[in-house]
Amino acid sequence: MIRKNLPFIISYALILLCNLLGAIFYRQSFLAVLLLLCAILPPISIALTKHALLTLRYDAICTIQNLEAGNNVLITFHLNNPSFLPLLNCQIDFTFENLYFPNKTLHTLSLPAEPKRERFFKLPFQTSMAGMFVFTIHTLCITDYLHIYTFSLPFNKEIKIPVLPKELDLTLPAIPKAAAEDEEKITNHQRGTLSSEILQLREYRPGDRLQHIHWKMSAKMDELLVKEFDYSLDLHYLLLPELTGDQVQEMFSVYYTLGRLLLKKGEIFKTAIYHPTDHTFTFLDIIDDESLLQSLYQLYYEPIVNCSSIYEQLCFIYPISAGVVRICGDQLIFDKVGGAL
Amino acid sequence: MIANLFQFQAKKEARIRKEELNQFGVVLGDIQTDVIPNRFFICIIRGLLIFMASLGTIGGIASAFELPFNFLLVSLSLLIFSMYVAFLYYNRITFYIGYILLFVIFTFSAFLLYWYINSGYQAFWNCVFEQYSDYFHLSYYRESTEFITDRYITLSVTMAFIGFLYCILLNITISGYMNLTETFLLTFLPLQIPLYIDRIPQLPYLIMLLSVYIAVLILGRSTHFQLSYKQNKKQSFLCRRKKGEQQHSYLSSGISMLTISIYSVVFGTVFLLLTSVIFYSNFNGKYVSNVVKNTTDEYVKTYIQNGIFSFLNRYEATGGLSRGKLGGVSSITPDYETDLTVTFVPYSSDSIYLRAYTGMLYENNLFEHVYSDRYNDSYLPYVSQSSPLYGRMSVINMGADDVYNYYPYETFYTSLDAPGSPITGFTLDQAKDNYTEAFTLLSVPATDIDSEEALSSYEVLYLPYQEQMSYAHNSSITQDYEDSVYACYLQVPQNSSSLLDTLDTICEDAGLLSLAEDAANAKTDSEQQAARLAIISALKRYFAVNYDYTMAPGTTPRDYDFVDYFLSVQKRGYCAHFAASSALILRRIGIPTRYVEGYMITMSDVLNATVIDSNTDGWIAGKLTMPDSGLVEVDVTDASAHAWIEVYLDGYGWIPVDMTPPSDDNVLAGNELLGLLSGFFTTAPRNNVTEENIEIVLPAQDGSSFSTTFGFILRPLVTLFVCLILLFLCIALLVQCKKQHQVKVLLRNKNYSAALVLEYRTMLLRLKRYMQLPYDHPAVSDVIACLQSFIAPDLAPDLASQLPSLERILQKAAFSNSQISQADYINYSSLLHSLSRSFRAASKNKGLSHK
Repeated sequence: MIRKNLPFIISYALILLCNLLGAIFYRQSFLAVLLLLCAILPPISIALTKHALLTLRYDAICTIQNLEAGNNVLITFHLNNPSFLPLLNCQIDFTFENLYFPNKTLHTLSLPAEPKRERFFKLPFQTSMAGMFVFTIHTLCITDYLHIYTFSLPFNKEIKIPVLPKELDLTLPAIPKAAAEDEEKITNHQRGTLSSEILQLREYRPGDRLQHIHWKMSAKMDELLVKEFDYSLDLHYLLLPELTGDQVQEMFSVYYTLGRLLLKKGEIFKTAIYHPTDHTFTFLDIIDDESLLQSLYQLYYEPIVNCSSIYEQLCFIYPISAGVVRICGDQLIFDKVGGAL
Repeated sequence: MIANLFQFQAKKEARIRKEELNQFGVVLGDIQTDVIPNRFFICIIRGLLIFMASLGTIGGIASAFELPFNFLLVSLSLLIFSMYVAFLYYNRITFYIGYILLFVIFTFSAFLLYWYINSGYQAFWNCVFEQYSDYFHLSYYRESTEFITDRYITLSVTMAFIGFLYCILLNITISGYMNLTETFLLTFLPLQIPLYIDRIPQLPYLIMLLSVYIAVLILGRSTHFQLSYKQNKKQSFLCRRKKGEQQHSYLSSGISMLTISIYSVVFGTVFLLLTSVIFYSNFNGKYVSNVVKNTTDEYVKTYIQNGIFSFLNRYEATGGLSRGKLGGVSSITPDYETDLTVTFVPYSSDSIYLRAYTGMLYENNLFEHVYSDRYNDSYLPYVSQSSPLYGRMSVINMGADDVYNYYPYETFYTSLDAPGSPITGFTLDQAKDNYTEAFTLLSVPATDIDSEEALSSYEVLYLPYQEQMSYAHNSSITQDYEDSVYACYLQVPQNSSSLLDTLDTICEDAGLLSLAEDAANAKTDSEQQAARLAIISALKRYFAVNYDYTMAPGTTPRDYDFVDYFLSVQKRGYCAHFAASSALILRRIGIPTRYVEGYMITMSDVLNATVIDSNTDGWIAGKLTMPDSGLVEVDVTDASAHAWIEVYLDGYGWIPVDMTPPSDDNVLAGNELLGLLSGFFTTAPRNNVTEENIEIVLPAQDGSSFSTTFGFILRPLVTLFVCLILLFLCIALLVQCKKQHQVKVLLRNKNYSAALVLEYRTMLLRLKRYMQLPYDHPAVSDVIACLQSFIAPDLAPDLASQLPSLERILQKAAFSNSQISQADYINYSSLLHSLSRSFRAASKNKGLSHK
């Protein structure tokens, strides 16, 4: 920041020097007055700026939770200067990006904080791709009137808005179901009707839904116990969105559309999310739109991998897995070998 | 074209954003704000800053020199003009049309008020020069003619006018760039005119300037004052793309501008009041002496005395002799210091030439003094056995070039025994034999000489030279001498064909060739003398008609021949130009001529001189034609340095001929023709003014008549009114052309529906102007019904029958997705025109007027 002020400092010093030389060689009273003025202006400028910024209020807000690709994200920056002095040189440095398309361009927003006024500045971001939109404010700097000294104010803020993929106009394809132990036991569980017979109780594992905790037994046993239902054996859809290749956007659209279609039909399913950093999988139960979105958001944080062996990894780690629906780009690949997870 | 450029930029920006959107999946659009910058308010603040800066400068200078002017007129006109120029930056239309209008008004008013402005300008500089002259104790300063003597009016008009010029320039630096350096230079440099000689402007003007400096410094350093005419009304931010960075700056904050301007005025006032003691202290530059100040002082003095062109000289030209060097002096800049003090008794009204330097060989823009000949540049005086008049002259060299001695023509004795004596070849014994009576003059003691100041002093005896119609035979001239003259003084550079061509052309144009033939065919010396004198007269006439005298002709370009450039291109010059050129022209036609430099004592010098004694005993012998002459002591300054030629007459010797034409009144005519700027920046010499000129230009210059007193205000107002009407007509024409162009474009794109709707809208607007329609946005059916009822009696039956189908077609054109056919467009477009005509006729019949 000091570097940015350097040209101004040099030019001001030159003005001062010219005045000084003029006053020395020509001994003009007006030049002497100007010299005096040049000498006292910088401290006055810095002192007044410091005084004004003590009362400055500022924030950046975004009211929407998520939006579909193609729509605008609106971030509002508000600046409230209750002082009687205007702050002409407020500079906000920010960056924004879709996590799948890194953009290192630094944006600087120069704003005036008008005296005794609150002003709103709206930053509209147009989106075209699904992914996690991240808006980061790095610094807020206030420079004095003569651009000699810059004050940095604490203002680190990150706003994350998930951008949903566009829903495709699809009809639900004939997805092969996973082989069940007993076809008759298969029940179509509607949303909110999860209280079928309990197969067993087991200890809590991170990722388990809170509503599956058996609170009474947990209280008795003094540890968290989770109910396991018999329908888990009937779960016959496992979606494996593969974050590979250059058709990730299409994959998101297909996954989102397929999930919505399944949920509309009343089907619940699991989604396997691959973590390339530790080569593990997380299995998420998708039982409603909320959990579908959560799975999508988790997916947004995963990096794209170059290898195309995610499915093999899954088979290797979970040999019993079967009936997996692989989503590669805009393709659905069905695992013919059905089996219970 | 400019509109296309902006469209191109907008398209480019849109293309970049599209690319970024595809590349990164997200892009920042146009940043919006809750308050769009108020252009009107911002222009007013800018206008106020411009007003303060221009009035601060103009008023500051005027107050420092105590110039009389109408403060109300000047400040009011500057305020209006400042606002006008500030609003040029309101939008693109005001910018382009406003500047054209500004140019027209400015030029018209400049022409109408030419003499007021010119006189005011000259009055201003006369005041300035006077004050500077007092400050520096200058013996001389330039003074210009004020054609209108009422300084209160002329200075008011001039100040307002120069203020306008300032407003235009300051508008660029303030509205355009908010640049302190440019604003400071524009205002501070003119203010140096009074400040340099410690004349302080009044405090309110300094406060205005200081406030503007502070405001522009602060506003310029922030980035929020760039609201330009280029941006559209709804644009609030300016985006700049750099490598890896994008800057978004809020364009303009009117409230901040106003606040800063107010605080600047308050701060400037308080600061100046607190520091005003400095102005009243002895902190001034009058007694400061250092290299920088002294050098600047010298330049200032030179400018005050000789003008700006004196700075262009390639070598020093402070009057005096140039020793034959020609072409490097742009402007003669005498210092008016005394070079020679000459004591003598004037014997006629003719000028007396004191000869010093002669040039023989002309080469490389130099008339070289060559000593190779045994006669040198000798001058053989005419030997008269019974001269009616002898003179004695005392010459004291106070500052002239001391290499030379300065003798009048026909000198036969000098008290110096120095080389270069004019009496070489004419021995002292011979002189004493011939001019016995003259030597008795030397019995009177010489004038006292201040030996500390004088470089040299000497006395001469001479025969007072006067131009004659014919010259008697000089017995001193020998054949050997004459041969030597012809061998040495006919040289013309043969290597410059351009120069030779120019000389030949001049000889032909001036009609010298036939006269030269006469001279060549002369049988006696007297015939030849007459022919040569006729040639000289012809050449003098030619110069007087075709060439101008000026002290500031400009330098000769480095690769040009001085004489050639003067004769063929420059056509204006001072004595050296005329002398050198005529020397070569006369040589070209076979007349021995030489270039001479020295000093010329004119009759006006004599009249201004000190008469030291009315008794002329010991200084003149013989009968004077001017009986009232006394002994005078003339201070010959370097301004009297002169160049002329000597022409050789067979049988008599050398005679001095001054070829320099007198300065005439062409300068004034030139000023009129050149118009405005020449009048501003040239100071017309006082001797250029004639009563005739003034009467032609100003029929009632006493200021008594109404037209003279108020004409300078009324005429620009009338002009402004006419300009506004013209502007209005132009805009109307442009709007009409734009509509027609739109229709043409739509037809070219086969969008017949839109074209018909456009024509319908035009007709609807006309209807709305003349008659009351049921609604603000009436339906087509309402309009047709209303129209039908209005023009029913005048409506042709065939037109009336088509109205229902017109309504149907218009509805289709306006609301249907399918286009109407070309035939429909042609039919119903002509129907609309017919209806429009019928409506106009009906409204005339009913006596309806414009709402």
